[in-house]
Amino acid sequence: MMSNLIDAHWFPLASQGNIYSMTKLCSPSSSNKLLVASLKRKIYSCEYHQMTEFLRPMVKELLFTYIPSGAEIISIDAYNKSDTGESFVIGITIMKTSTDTIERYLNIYTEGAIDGEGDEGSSIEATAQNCLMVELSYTPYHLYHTVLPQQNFTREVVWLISGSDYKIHMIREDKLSHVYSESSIEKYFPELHDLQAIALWINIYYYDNYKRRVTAVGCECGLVKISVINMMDLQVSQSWLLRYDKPVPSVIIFPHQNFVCKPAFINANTKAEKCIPEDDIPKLNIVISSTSNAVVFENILEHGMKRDVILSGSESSDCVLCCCIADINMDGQNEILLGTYGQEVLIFALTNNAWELTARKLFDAPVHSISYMDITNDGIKELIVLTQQGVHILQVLHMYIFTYI
Amino acid sequence: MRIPRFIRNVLIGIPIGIAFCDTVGYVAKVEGISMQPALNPDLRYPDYVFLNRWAIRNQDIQRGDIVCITSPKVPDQTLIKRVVGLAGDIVDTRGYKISALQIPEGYCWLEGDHVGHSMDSNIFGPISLGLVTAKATHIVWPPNRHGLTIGDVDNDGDNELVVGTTEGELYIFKGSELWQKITGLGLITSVAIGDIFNYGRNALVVICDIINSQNLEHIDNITEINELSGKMECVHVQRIPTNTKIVLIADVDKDGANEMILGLTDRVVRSYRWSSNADLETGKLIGLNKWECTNQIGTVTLQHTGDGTPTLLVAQPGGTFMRIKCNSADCHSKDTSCEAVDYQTLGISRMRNQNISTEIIGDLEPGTTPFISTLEPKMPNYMPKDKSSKQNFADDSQLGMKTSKSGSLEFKRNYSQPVIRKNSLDMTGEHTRDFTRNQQIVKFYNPADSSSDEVDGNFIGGKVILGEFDEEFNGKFKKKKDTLLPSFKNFSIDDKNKNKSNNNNNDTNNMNQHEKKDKDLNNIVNSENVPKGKPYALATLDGTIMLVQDEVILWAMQVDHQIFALCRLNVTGNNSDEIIACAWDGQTYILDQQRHSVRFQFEEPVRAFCTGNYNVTPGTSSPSLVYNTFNNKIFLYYDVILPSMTISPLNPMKDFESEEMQTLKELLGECSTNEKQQKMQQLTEWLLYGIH
Repeated sequence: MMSNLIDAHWFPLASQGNIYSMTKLCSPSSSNKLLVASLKRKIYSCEYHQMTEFLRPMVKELLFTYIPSGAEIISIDAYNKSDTGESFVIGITIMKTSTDTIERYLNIYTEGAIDGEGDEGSSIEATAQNCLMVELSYTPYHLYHTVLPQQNFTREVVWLISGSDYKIHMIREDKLSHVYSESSIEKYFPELHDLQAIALWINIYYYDNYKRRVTAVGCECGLVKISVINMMDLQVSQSWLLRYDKPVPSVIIFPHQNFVCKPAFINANTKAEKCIPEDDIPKLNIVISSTSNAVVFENILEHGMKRDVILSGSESSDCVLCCCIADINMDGQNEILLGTYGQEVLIFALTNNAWELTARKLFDAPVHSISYMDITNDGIKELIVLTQQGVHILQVLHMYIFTYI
Repeated sequence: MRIPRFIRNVLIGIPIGIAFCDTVGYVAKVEGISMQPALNPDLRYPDYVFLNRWAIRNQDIQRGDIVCITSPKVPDQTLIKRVVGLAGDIVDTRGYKISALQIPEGYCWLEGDHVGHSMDSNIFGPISLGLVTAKATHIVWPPNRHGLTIGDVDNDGDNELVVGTTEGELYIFKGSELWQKITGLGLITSVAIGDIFNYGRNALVVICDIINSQNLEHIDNITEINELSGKMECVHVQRIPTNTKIVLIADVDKDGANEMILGLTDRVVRSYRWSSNADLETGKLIGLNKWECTNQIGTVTLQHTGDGTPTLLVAQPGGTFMRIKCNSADCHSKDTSCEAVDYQTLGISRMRNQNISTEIIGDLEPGTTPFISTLEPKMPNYMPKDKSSKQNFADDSQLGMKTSKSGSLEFKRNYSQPVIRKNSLDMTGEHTRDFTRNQQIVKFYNPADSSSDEVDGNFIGGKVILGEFDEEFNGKFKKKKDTLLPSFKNFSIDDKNKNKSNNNNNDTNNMNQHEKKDKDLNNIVNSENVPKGKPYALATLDGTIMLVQDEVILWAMQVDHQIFALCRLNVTGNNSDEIIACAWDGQTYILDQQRHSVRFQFEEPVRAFCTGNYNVTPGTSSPSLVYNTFNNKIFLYYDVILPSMTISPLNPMKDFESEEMQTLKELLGECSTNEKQQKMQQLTEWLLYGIH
């Protein structure tokens, strides 16, 4: 599985990143990009340009405004406001320590509210110059964005930040004044309220057409909190608390099978198929990687947290830093990729109803983050691995694709 | 009065120290470039030498010594130079007011190795022995400076890494181990592996400079495998000019026999050929030619022109080079003066630093460039002719016809580089490769080595050794034993006659055939337009890399690193050579001939660099990069294989039939290219990741 991946590109980082310093910028209309932040203020964007015969990787440093010198970037996250175009919102949490004070900010970069409207020239460089700052009274950890479904079916995206004050904070845009401010998390995310632990990782999964969601939080103290929420009345229908003896840097909820929407232009005359089956409850799994090993809980909606499987082999390569869910062998079922401090990426695949370590690949430095995205814009996703030294982009050898089919 | 003990020690110590420095010697830093490359090859890492005053207490100096003198013009300046002539010698000056003079008693003639960049006797005239203050006997720092090469030194089919150090130590690494260490060779400036004896087996040539031994002479030291011990043994030592910088073993005059080419630091390129007596053990290298270049030599490389004529390319400062043609026919007629030297400026020396040192690498396998395609259609024209003229080769020719491309990784690995280049140009690649395939042997003594066998007189006991080969290659190879003469038909008369006398040695057929083919080819192509030569690459220390073909720059690129080494390696396995350029700081560029580049940062400063196909495990060689660092460590990266030089997106339509294309077109409907690409992306994603 790993042998058919080739190194498509590599670029070094001026200073190391962390498990929060890579995010992707996807848009349906233009090429997908990757954003990588390094601790000492440098933020790189990487994308591929199509030349006549080959792809040219373009890595450039993006100059984000309002990141003062001496500040350190903690986390970066981004989403696309627009369904069709390119309207990115990029959030960056920074911390600036001077002799007596610590200043912490969430910088949110969006394109201009009015002048950017419908403007083709609005680029990511322009976005980087348009900053809204939110001062934080705590040290930020994970910066996460999620959809906030509302009764009138408009979906608002809000930021969630886990803080050193043992809370998770929600940062929301005030539509009228176009200012971001913190609002009460209890009202919208009751399951995240009163956590009393430093959350290292937040993951939220909506299903049943945004009528329900599963929220998972992994904490520094080893606490893992998983809740199922009914969105109609915002009541926690089920909740589990697990305690590990090691920090939990990654918790990810993932469906057993991937659903990819059939392109709309196929069978244009027949009614468009629903790409996600609505009625039946999906088989959801949760992978929890504490720093010592990783555990999968299978089909949590049906069985709760009873069917746990320890990913054997995950303890063999130092502590697990990050986790990624990807259908890397293109069989429709998700695989689990773990990045370890032992400079390895471990791939676990479900074979005969058992999770097995099927491949491992050694990198040059501890693996901080893994992403699986289509950066070459050809329909095949690439594996992107952020290590302490740099970013590796691994492409599937094309000849192997035909063996998968 | 009591003097404190410390001060007393100092007061006593200072005179002792001064006396020691005055009589025994001291360590000094070398500044400037006048003694390059023996001293200060890289100015950023200056050398420190031990100046021995004891050794010159009776002005007892020898030719070849490096000595310190007080400058006759600026008395407080000390110069370091090499002794070229002693009293009574007649020296040929360069730029001095008298073109030749006899050195008077009590004087000597000193020159810097870096000719043209040295204030030496060519300016001052003969220098009084009284001005000689010390003799440089040791390079104190850096601890060593290395010559590196990869090749098959022990003729077992596997390539070894040979490292020569300035301390006179020669290391041979085989697989993952040190196989042999030879010491006491003096300052090794260069090593080369090749069939210098022209008997079908490789030998190792070590150019060393015995600086601190008794006889103080500069020695060309050729070692060769000893059958009994299995290790290398010195079989021949010969004095050659003192300032040798580069050695190359190649057939430069297209006579089938290998020559040894020396690049000297005083702008001279010399060629030598082994001439043996009745048995192999005795014999010597005979100087053939001497060419003078206009400037300091960077590297010397072999390059074949479009019609297969070998030429030497000598890199010259400022991204220029000299092309030396050495035609064997001329050589025979006019003994020594067969040179034809062209100075090529490539017409781009406008903004360049004129004196920047330059590297060159020739005979890059062009792979799928038009060069090959112009030749291939012609093959049928002459192959039948080949067949009819010498039926004994029928097997071979057919084999040659079957495979269309020359130059596979498999066959390359068994040869030292120059031999392959020549052969693959002649399209002998097909033959050798077929042997490997048919007999399932990767490890074999290259049959093409017999191609480098004698032709013009320097015949040596090849029969015995090749007889051994035949035992190893039962079958096909033996069939070819009884042919020789027909293949020489197209040779010039005197060649033919010469070989007639040798025709009981039946083993040279392989080469003869190639030669003949080559000639045929030449006949054909000369009547039409001249085919293009193989491309070659130049790199300058200021970071310009260019690919040139027939003196036309195909492309040039500028990098911001100081390139000091230029090598070739096939890392993509596609028959065409990649250019590997290495900078002092470890930045390594892998460039293909379409100018696509891959960079690799080696983490340390590099002192020496080479590439080649190294056998980590016996039988399988892989492309390797070898770095020698300033910390006395050699790093060898093996299995340096890139699937391709560029990344391409998936193109599912590539293999589509026309009806499939039609279906796809209907599916996508009418849309712009941008939309089409998006739709293709969605479709591919759905097909690959969706569940159907």
